[in-house]
Amino acid sequence: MEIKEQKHGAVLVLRPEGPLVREDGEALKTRALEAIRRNFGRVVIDGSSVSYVDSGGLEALLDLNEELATGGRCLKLCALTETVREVLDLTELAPQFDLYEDPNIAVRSFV
Amino acid sequence: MDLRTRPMLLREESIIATWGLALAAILLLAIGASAWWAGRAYRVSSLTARENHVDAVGGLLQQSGEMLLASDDLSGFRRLVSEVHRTNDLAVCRVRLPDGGIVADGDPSRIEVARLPEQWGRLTEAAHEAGAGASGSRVRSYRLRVPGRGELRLELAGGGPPSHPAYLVMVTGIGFIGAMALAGVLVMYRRLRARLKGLGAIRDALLAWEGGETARAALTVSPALGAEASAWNALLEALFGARESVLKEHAAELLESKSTQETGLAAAFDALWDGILFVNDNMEIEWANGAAAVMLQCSREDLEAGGARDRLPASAAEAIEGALTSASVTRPTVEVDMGGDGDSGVLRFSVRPIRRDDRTQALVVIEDISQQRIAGDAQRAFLDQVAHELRTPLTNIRLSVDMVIESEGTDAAVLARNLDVINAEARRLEGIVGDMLSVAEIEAGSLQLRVDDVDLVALLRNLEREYQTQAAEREISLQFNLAPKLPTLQADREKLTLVLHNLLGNALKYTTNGGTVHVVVNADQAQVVIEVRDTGIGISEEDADRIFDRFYRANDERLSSITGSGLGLTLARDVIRLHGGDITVESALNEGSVFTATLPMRAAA
Repeated sequence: MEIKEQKHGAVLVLRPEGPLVREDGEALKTRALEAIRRNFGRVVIDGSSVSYVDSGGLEALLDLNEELATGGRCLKLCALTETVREVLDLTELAPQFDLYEDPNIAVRSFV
Repeated sequence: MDLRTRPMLLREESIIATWGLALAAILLLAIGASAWWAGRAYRVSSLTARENHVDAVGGLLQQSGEMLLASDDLSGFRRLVSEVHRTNDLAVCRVRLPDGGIVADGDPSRIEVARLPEQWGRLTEAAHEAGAGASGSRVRSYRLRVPGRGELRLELAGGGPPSHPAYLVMVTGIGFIGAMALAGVLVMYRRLRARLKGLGAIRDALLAWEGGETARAALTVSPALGAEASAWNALLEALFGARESVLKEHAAELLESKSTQETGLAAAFDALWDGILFVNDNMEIEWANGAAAVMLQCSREDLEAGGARDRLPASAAEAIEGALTSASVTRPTVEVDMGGDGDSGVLRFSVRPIRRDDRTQALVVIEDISQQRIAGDAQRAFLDQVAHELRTPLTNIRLSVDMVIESEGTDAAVLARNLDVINAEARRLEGIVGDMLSVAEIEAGSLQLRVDDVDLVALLRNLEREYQTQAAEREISLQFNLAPKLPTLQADREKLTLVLHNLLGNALKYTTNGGTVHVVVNADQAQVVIEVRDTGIGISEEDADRIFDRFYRANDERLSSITGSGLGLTLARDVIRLHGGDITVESALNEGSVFTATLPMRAAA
């Protein structure tokens, strides 16, 4: 899985591309944790290119959220595809995250 | 790929039409090839039979002719030749002397030698076939020996190609059988079509699945396509249901494992976005919340085990120490740039001393103000740019007014020139203010799209007419290449026109005289793609990343003589994004640029 990075001011937007399954979830977790540590948690995950998420991917997102929660933060997800949004709703995990329509709105939430 | 912009999957006809056409083409080819092969075989066999017949006739005529000539019965021989020619439908039937003179011929008018000489020579060449007759058939030669007098050459050739009615009957028959077979296939195709539609849709869904499509809605096929389609949908339902129940179960387990029992004040502090530290009068950190640990990039245990001087930036530690030791109550605030590499950001340490009995503690609130700092810088830069952009036309207007006043309005030429300048600069101001208001509206989220049917062809043709004169004046070739049958778009006509004006205006503005600007528009079921290509001055890779930023103008000397607010592309991208599309640029310096706007058939807003 390719994970693209883009800086929006002081906020780092990570955009994973492809389905977030099994070992891809672990790769995203490693990358995001590293970004969270060096960036005081100013990280947004742009889900516009994630076509699907399985239980491995969900676990990675929850782990990231837990890591952020220790610092009073919450994982910010934006531009989720319909399928991923459906999975989050179905598993009742959506309230665990901060969800935004697009990366710009998510970035502005840090101001 | 974003599912919202993915084209809808082709359904139903995609495979059916292809296979149906392929089958019909193969059948037609097979029928044609059969007819050609049968005709060829018939022709070859007819020619062979004819040549065998000519050979047999030649042998008989050779024997009978030698006998008649030996008895000096030339007229009988000529009658025999004429009779053989007539009854066997020969193209050539003649007898020649060695010198070429015709002694007898199926056509008596061609006879050249009235009487045979007493003696003549022998034939010099071998008596075999040589050359071709007028009809294209081979001419066969036979040697006639007349004892004591010499040798003659008998030449025979069969008729032309077979024109037998049987040949025509055969070809017609094959054609008829082929047409019947084709009609049969068409009838079968029509009967199978309904069934095949369902199978084709299922095949498309399978291929989409293999290509990474996972949305249930995209993989489901219309149940109206038959029993197979309904069965496929039931299978999908079962598959997705099973997957969802596994996911739900797993998610519930995860949530349970991650739920914490922590409650009370400490938990409340840990839920804060800002970092909190309690530092005692020995400069020891007594307590830290989670956010403080994140911002100071070490664990809470390390923070609480160490002194404030070791764990905090020097300026923050000094401020805390000052607040703890000061006789008066001070509440210092320190901002520290934590990022050596620009990644970490800026932290604000606000110190609040807490005095109780003989003890003093400091409550330190740590805020991450990195994004605020950047936003503030951007706001200041924006205001500077606005002031600069507005000042230039205002200065020009003021200078023109001054000149008119100085001339006391007596010089008509000066008056006209300055009024032109004032008019142009006022329009420029109006444009800048209009663009700024639109950008501000979009950023504030207050801009509403007025979505309506937009005839894209009419809109683009109007644009072509408007810009054709400008392009012609600068000898720029302006071409519009629109796909046939462009659909009607659901979009905000006014805003879309503004976007196209910006893209096309820029392309012409940055293309040198004699260049080319090409507008290419294509559409599929889901979206319209508008490309504006130019052979202009191009954009460097570094500038291309920022070209859509507000007020950004590339750092290129060639732009000094070209006016522009730096808002047009910002506005274009924002409007396209409001419609649910996007706009991208590909460019190479000195070669030109391609701006590609992708618009969904129905605007998102």
